[in-house]
Amino acid sequence: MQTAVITGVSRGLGRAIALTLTNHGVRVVGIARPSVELDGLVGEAGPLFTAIAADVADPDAMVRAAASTFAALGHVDLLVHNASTLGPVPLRPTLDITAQQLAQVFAVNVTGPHALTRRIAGAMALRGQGTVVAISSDAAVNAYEEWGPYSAAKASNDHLYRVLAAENPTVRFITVDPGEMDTAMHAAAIPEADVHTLRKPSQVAKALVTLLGHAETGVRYELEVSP
Amino acid sequence: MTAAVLPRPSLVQRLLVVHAGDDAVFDGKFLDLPQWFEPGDVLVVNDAATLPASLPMHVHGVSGELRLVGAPEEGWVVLFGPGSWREATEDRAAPPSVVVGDVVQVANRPVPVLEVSDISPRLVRLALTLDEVLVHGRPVQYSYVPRSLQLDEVQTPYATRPWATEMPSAGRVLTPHLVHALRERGVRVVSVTHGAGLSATGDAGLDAALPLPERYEVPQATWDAVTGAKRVVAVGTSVVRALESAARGPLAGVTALKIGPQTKLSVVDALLSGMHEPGESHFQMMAAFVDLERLRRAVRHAEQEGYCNHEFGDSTLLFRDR
Ligand SMILES: NC(=O)c1ccc[n+]([C@@H]2O[C@H](COP(=O)([O-])OP(=O)(O)OC[C@H]3O[C@@H](n4cnc5c(N)ncnc54)[C@H](OP(=O)(O)O)[C@@H]3O)[C@@H](O)[C@H]2O)c1
Repeated sequence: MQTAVITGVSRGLGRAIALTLTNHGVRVVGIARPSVELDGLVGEAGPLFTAIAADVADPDAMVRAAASTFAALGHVDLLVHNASTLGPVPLRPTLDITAQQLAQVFAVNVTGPHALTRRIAGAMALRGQGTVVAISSDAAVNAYEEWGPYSAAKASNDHLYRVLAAENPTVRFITVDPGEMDTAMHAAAIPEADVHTLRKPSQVAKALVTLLGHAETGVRYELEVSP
Repeated sequence: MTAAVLPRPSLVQRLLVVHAGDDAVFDGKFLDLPQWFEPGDVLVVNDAATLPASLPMHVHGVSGELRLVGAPEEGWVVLFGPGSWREATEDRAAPPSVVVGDVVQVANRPVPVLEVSDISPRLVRLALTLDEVLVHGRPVQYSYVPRSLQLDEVQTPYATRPWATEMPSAGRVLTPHLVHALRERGVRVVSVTHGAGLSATGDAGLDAALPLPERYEVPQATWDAVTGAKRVVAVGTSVVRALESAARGPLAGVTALKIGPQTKLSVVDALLSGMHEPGESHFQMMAAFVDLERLRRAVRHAEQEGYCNHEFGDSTLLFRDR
């Protein structure tokens, strides 16, 4: 693998994946909305890293980001959809979620990312190789109270990837549940959690890179992380 | 011919097949494309993505538009006067004339004019960046299209680097599914990158000079596939220009090659393109494959049979004699 695009790189798992890959010599394009954290990563990750400030919920911005990406990388071997939102926090019962709020969660987790997948996986199909990963969650399979929008979006994306895998035999489409991690998202969802029981994003990022060595298309993986 | 005014799926796309040595033409479906090829044939696509090549500009008190001719960093642009894409380019008012040193506001940034071309006073060079084009630009629009086109709608399915200022439209409906079907049949599908430029500007002097020089890159692996091919099929006129330029010069560079009825093609055997009519530069290129008389007859047939033309129109597949 030479080149990768990661969304949601300003903090948490996405940042850890970007750093792990640049440490492996992979040229990485990282996407997140503009922030000092994103600017900071540019310095930390070094010359193999290029930042694109864009909102993954905006399909047109994703088409433009794809153009910048190809201008920077030439071709893309790996695309990781990691950016995500829970929707309104504190989490609340699904009947308290408006249709607009639900649509925004789907825009960040499913529909906006699909605009980027379209632009990048099409070129992968022509080359006859490439991997697209969507980060999933155990909320995609379990019906936890108050996790309605997020879990519905994650479940829907898992299924979208099974269909993409069935349709595109030469591109690998996988989804990966990273397990519970010590990140800003986890703190926003479950503020009372004991952070010592949570995985470090850097460990999870390494396990993800190992998984990519043997993962099969159309499969949903739950990451094993040895403590 | 009637224009297809909006993007259409490959399902409804028609395919007119013309052979240089045969009076008969064949009416087919684009989805049946693979049946026209044999194992050992090589299909070459242009993987250039389409830039949002139109930007708002303001100069000498007049608000207008500029359209990139090639790479933003090279900076050659065509200026358009007031008005919008809803008017045909030839009906648009001319922009104010500019000289070297004049300042043009491009998306609210002052940019000096570095050069004015001999070809037309509307063809000027400015220093632009890819980033500002990707942020502020939008795709070149067409007056026959009833609404403004989004950037996603003017991409081929396999587009990569943003080099084209207008869509390499011959491959617009060449979906991953069709590419897979071609490969299953033993046809190789490979790519070049060619910075396909503006199709028309409405300025007679400029339009007569089209196509302007364009940058191209033929990867070594593509060239190897082409030289070992049974037949080489170019998807789009830009691919013919890239491959025939590579045959006459380096595998990558800028080409001024023009291809017409007199051109002796050295690598490309067949052309998959849109529906073109006499007078268009694309029609001239088609005449390198099939003689003008037979082409004119094919156009008449297409008109009678209700084929559609323009960017979202039907397709023609031309085989030359070998
Ligand atoms: N943490 C867990 O326990 C856990 C468990 C299961 C699954 N996951 C999944 O793991 C992935 C990473 O989660 P995390 O815990 O690292 O989350 P995080 O700390 O909240 O980071 C999320 C990242 O996504 C970006 N992002 C959010 N909205 C965006 C938007 N509209 N446009 C562009 N970027 C956007 C954020 O950047 P900006 O806000 O700066 O744009 C940030 O970089 C997510 O897919 C999450 O669902 C996490």
